[in-house]
This record gives sequence, structure tokens and C-alpha cells, in this order.
Amino acid sequence: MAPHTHLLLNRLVGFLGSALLLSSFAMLSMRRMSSLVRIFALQGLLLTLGTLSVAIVAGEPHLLFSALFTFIFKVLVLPIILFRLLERLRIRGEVEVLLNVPTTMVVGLFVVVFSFALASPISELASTVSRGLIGVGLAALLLSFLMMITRKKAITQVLGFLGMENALFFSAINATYGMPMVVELGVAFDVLVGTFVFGIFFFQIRETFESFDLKHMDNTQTE
Amino acid sequence: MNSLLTSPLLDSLWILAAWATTGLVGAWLLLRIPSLSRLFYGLLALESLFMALSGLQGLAGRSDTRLVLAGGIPGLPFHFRQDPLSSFFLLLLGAASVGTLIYTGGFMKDEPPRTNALFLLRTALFLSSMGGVFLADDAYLFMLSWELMALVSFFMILTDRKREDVRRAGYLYLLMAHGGSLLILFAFALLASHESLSGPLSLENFSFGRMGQTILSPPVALLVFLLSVLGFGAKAGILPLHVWLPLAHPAAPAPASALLSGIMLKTAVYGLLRILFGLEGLPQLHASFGIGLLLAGGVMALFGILYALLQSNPKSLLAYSSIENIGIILLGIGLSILYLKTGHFAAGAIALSAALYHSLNHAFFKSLLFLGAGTMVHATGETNLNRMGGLLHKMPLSGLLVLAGVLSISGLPPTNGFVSEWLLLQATLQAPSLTGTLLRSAVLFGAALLVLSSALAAMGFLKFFGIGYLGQPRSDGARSAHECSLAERMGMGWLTLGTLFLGFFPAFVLSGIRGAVFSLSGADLPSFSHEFGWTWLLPFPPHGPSTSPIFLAGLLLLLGLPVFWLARLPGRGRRRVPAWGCGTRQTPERSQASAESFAQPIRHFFPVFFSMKRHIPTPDDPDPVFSLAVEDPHWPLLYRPLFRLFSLAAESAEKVRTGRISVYLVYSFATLLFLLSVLRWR
Repeated sequence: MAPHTHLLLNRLVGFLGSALLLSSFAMLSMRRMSSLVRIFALQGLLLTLGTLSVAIVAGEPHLLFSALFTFIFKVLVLPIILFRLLERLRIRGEVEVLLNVPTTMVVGLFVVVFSFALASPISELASTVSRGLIGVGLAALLLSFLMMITRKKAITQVLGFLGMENALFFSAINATYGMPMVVELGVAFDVLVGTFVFGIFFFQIRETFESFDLKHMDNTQTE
Repeated sequence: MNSLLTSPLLDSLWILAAWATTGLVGAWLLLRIPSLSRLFYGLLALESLFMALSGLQGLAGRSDTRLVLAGGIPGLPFHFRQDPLSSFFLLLLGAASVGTLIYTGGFMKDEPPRTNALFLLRTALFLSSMGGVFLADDAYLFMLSWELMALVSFFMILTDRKREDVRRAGYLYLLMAHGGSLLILFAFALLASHESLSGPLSLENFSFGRMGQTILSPPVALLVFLLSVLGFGAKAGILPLHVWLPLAHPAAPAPASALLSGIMLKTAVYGLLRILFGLEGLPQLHASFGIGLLLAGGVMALFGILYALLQSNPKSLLAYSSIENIGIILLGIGLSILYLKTGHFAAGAIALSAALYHSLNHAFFKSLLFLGAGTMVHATGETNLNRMGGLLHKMPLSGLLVLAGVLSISGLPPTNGFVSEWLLLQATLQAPSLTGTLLRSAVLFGAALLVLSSALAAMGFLKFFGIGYLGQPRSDGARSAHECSLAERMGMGWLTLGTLFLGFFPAFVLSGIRGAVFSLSGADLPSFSHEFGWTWLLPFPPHGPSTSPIFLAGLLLLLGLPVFWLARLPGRGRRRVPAWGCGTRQTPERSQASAESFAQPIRHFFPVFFSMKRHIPTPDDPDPVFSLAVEDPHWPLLYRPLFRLFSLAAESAEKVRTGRISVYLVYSFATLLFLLSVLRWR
């Protein structure tokens, strides 16, 4: 491979990483449930492309399979399931937040700074081509966590959870060229099964509480 | 080291397996054919007898055999070892449990088959796990047996689990037992890891053989000492960890109490000896450890017997008396460390053998007395001494057997209690040979505590026997009491024979103990051969003090016969009147001394030890009620404040728990951030 293409691809990986980070911020700020799912699908696509470019730059053929699986699961299967869920549960309304969006964004900014500070020694140690992006993965992970905290509805929690999984996958690819194939496959199926389980739960939750608001589940207090 | 085939180790292991098998098969069969109960308890007793023989063989041959069996955890197979110390305690376990097991066959016969079967299973597993403790030669097997023993004994206490107080006592015991195990585990970890400074830490370090070669720095040696004293002390009832004993014993059925107090407390003594002398090793101990143990034992003895005196429930009286006896044993161990570390090997060996002797004695007479208390409770249906009385007329034989136990535990001359306490006292009287006022005064202070508590023990057991068996029946239950079953009397008879044997043939017993003492301390007891041979006990030959229980017994008989004959002389209008009748014709039961009145002088003389709540009515009170409640001061001064502190901390921690999922997520988020930043900017 010519060094020119190499450099270009390297730039591409960097671009995709920043796009991933941006998509995480977008997830934090979205107010409509359906756009949230769309952004999740977009995140999956970015992840696929990122994996693909790392695979080409580093010459790691097994990452190609990872990219394929990521595409199938995170761009096709999971969003379809989620859309069908939204449809069947007739969720169209707005995302309800505990903390208003601008504040969340400011907190998110600090989280990103923190993650880059945290990742700098790991980046120095790692030997991968895309080691500069470990911080991005970490930031995306913490932002997804932040989303889980600040949203009220159970379904947004699930999306935050899936986003965390995406970010972990991204960090793994950039730090060590991904985990062994078996682990990745296992995780992918776990996420799929988890989504099914969540889906079933949502129906149960609605049956029981007539709502998805988390506050109805806040009954663990012992009196 | 002897070869495996001629050593008793294999026999002992087979007996452990036989106990467990008998328990399992027996429990299964008893559920179907309940009448087989006595057969299975008899079988267990037979196996115990073989265990005693195996221990005796090991002591006689001073055999020291190790065996490594597959099992355990990877890298650490099961190590077994039967050395003279193990043999001694196996002898104790076997010989003392024979009587209790025979007794149990009679005691449990009226229980429903399910209770009976479960009790058989627990008893068998209990014996087996105690044997495992004595035979273990690595920390894993030791802790495994130790925990199994704690669990099984917990369930034995819970036999009558429907009663609230029984459950509370059981849980308190479990708490103490597990806390103690944790400390023991720490001690083992310190012993095992300190050696590995030179090499990599492997699991093989947890075998006792490797632990015995550790070199500890003085602070670590002190830490191991403290951890093991507190850890085993929680089991043995060392102050202030004794609070479970007086609660658990009245809650447990009599045979369970007999096993718990008679034998299980000795596993703690064994463990302490094994860690201090075997693993930590005498060279790494310090004389001050001995002083600490000596004083702790002395205070324990005095405290235990003072509280025993105040109890009206015969079983809690015996429980507090167990604290006293363990105190005496610890005093002996502390004394021996002190002497051995200051170079007085003969005195050290005598003190150690006195401690071992007293362990053996206590196993016999305390089992006997607990079983006796069980017959008292069974016969009268009462648990308060104040509602017993006059039982000697109703149950003469078991009464006499209990009397033998009472005399022994009081340390009266021709009995075994006298021999061990006398030996210990002789060891304390070697104090003038010590250098340093502090050492000397500590030993003499210990001696004073020992003598005081033995004298008080005699008073306490006079109360036990006098209120329970003499005088007039104080309740309908006591009036309709009946003699206990043959099996129960046989079991108590075995223990009485054992007590008498230990009392009359001290030189023979000491020749067995010599092996264990030698293997522990490297100091040999002086030879007891003497011009009068085995009848005479001379701990510090050739000119030391000496005694002979047989001679004393003969003397007592000689002096007592004329008195007996005079009292029995016929004629001259002898008549029998009710005891405590005071010449009136009214029923005298209310005019007898009560259990509380018997202890009144003690409450009066030692007020600092008791936290009393007394209500004395004024003279013009129309409805006068006198009430007195004495409580163990450890409850109001230590445990309740501790519990309050605990629940206060728990309540303030509760504020964190809002019950909102988002807040919980914030907690995990903050924790994650915190841990990450610690990792980064450490």
C-alpha cells in the first residue's frame, strides 16, 4: 500500500472517530425517540467504517469480519428491532429528560476532556495505528453513560446501554485491534439477546405501569 | 517418624469415615425404623472407643505420621498428621464422647423420628469434623473441618429451632464462630506468606509443615499470637467473646451441650497449642505472651465462676463454669510459655501438662454434668434450680453420678480436678525461681486467681447439687421426677469411671501426656518413678511436693467410716423429718435456701463484677415485689453500644439509598470516574 493512501486512510479513521463522538453528543441532545434510534444506526455505520479502515491500514483481516458483523447487527438488525418496538409500543413522543439538554452538553464537554486526559498514557503505550482514538472511545462510553443517567424513559436507557457497547467496541479496536473473534461474536449475540429481553420487558413494564417512566420502578425503598 | 502401616493415623482416618457413614446411614434408617436409635448411637460410641484406642496407641508409641491424600484445592492436597498432640486430643474426643453417645440413645428415644435422625446425623458429622480438626496438617483442611464443625454445631444448638431464644442463641454463636474463623485465617495467612519473602508464594506454603519453618519479625509474631488467641478464643469463650456460651448451652439439648462444652472447646485449645507451639514455634514466642495469656486466663476463670455462682439455670451455670475451666487451661498454657521462655523447662513442662490434664478432666466431668443437668431438666420439666430440689431421692443413681462430677469439678482431693489444679498450682509455686519482680508477681497473681476461682467453683457446685438434688422438692415437676433411662445412666456411668480413673492414676495419665508435652515444647517431664511407684505423684523430684489421690481416698475412707457407722448406729429413737422442716409441720419448700440466696454473699463481696438492677420495695408498699436482675456486664458495656454504633452507621448509609434508578446510575458513574482517575493519577 502506498504511503499516500495509508495517510489518507489514517485521516479517515480520525474523521470517523470524531464523527462517532459527535454522534454521541447528538444522542445526548436528541429530543425525538425515532431520531435517537436513527442516530444509533448511524453510529453503527460509523463503527463499521472505522473498523473497516483500521482493518485495511493495519492489515488485520479478522477485523473485516468484525466490520461485517457490526454492520449486520448494529446497522440492520438492532435498529429494525428498535423501530418495530417503537411502533408496536406506539412511542412517538419526545424524550423526557431529568437534566436539561444544555446542562447535559456542558457536563458532556467536561467528560470528554477527562477521557482524553485519562487515555493519554494508554495511547502512548498502545502500538496500534489509531491509538490516538482511544480517548474518543472512552469519551463516547462515558457520554452514553451520561445519557442513561439523564433520561427518564426505560427505552432511552437501553439505547444508552447499546451506545456504551458501541464505544467499548471502538476502544477495543483502536487499542488492540479488537478482541478475539469469539469474544466479539459472543458480545454481539449478547447484545442481540439483551435487546430481545428488553423488548419483552418493555411490554411487561407497560402492562404493569401504563408508562415507561423510570419513576414507577423507583419502589425499592424499604419503609 | 514411624512408618504409616504401624501408626494409628490410618485407623483414625477410617474412624472419621466410619462416623460419617454411620451418621448418614443411621439417619436414613431412623426415619423409617425409629426403634433403631439406640443401636446407632451404640455404634457411634463403639467407633468413639476405637478412636480413643487409636489416640492411646499414638500417645504410647509417640508416633508422628504424615499422610497426603488427593483432594483439597489444586496445589494443596489434603495433609494429615497424627503426632502425640493430635493423639492426645483424639483420645479426649473418643473417650469423652463414648459416654455422651450412649446417653444420647436414651435421651432422644422419645423425640419424633425426624428430630432423632437429624440429631444422629449432626452428632456423627460433628465428631467427624472435630477429628478432622485434630488430624489436619494444612490450613485448608483445618479450616474446612473447623467450619464444618462450626456449622454442624450451630445446627445442633438449633435442635429446638421453633423457640425464639434458641434461634437468637444459635445466630449469636454462628456470628462468633465465623468472626473467630476469620481471625484464624488471618493468622494462617501471616504464617504462610511470611516465609515466601524468599520464594514465590505457592499454595504448598499453607501446609503446616511449611508454616512451621517461618521466620517472623517480632511484631508479626505478636500479631499472629493475638489473632490466634482471639480467633480460637471466640470458640473457647475467652473474655469478652464468651457471650454466646451462656446463651447457647441452655438452648441446646443436653448431649449437644456436653459435646460442645466437653470436647468442642478443646478444639480451640488444640488449635491454640498447634499455632503457638507448632507453627509459630517456641523460639518466636515471647515471655510477655505468656504473661498475657496467664492473666487473661486468670481473669476469665474468676469471672466465669463468679457468674456461674449467680445462675439459676443449671445449664447456664455449667456454661459459665466452662469459661472458668478454659480460663484455667489458658492460665496453664500461658504459664508454660513463660517458664519455657525463661529457661525453666521442668516447670514449663509441668504447667503445660497440667493444662492438657485439665482439658482431659474437663472433657469428662463437664460432659457428665451437662448430661446430669439434662436428666434434671428431663425429669422435672423445669429449667430453674429454684423449681427443683430433692431429686436425690427420686433419681438416686444418676444423682450419685452427678455428685462424682460435682466433686471433681470442685477440685476436691481424691478426684481428677484436684490433680490437675494441684499440678498447676505447683507450677505457679515455682515462681521464686524466676528473675524479675514483674514476672514473679504476675505468676503469683495468677496463682491467687486460680486458688480463688477453685474455691468459688466448689461453692458454685455446692449450689448446683444442694439446690437441685438435696432439700425438698420445690415444684410439682420435682415431686413427680423419675429416674432416667438405663442408657442415660450407663453413659453417665462411663464418664464417672473416666473421671475416677483420671483422679486415681495421675502418674499413668501423665506418662501419656509426656509425649504430647515433649513434642510441643521439647521439654520432657521428669520421670515419675518413685519409691511408691505409680500411686504417688511427685512433679519436681526428688524433693518437691508430692501427693497421692489414692492415698488420700484411703485416708478419707478410713476417717469417714467411723462417722458413717456412728450416724447409722441403730436405736436411741432416730427419726426422719423433712429437711428444712425447722420443727414445724408446714411444708418446708419455701423455707429452703433458694438459688439466689445461695449466691447473695458473692453478689455482696464482688459488686464490681456485676451489673445489677435491684428493686427493694418500701415498707409501706401495698403490693411489695422484690426483684433482682443480674446481667453480664459485657452486654451493657460492650455489645449493646457496639450494636447501636453499627445500626447508626447502617442508618446513615441508608440515606444513600434513594430508590431512584437514575441516582443509582449516577453512583456508578461517579465511582467509575473516581476509579479511573485513581488509576490515572495515582
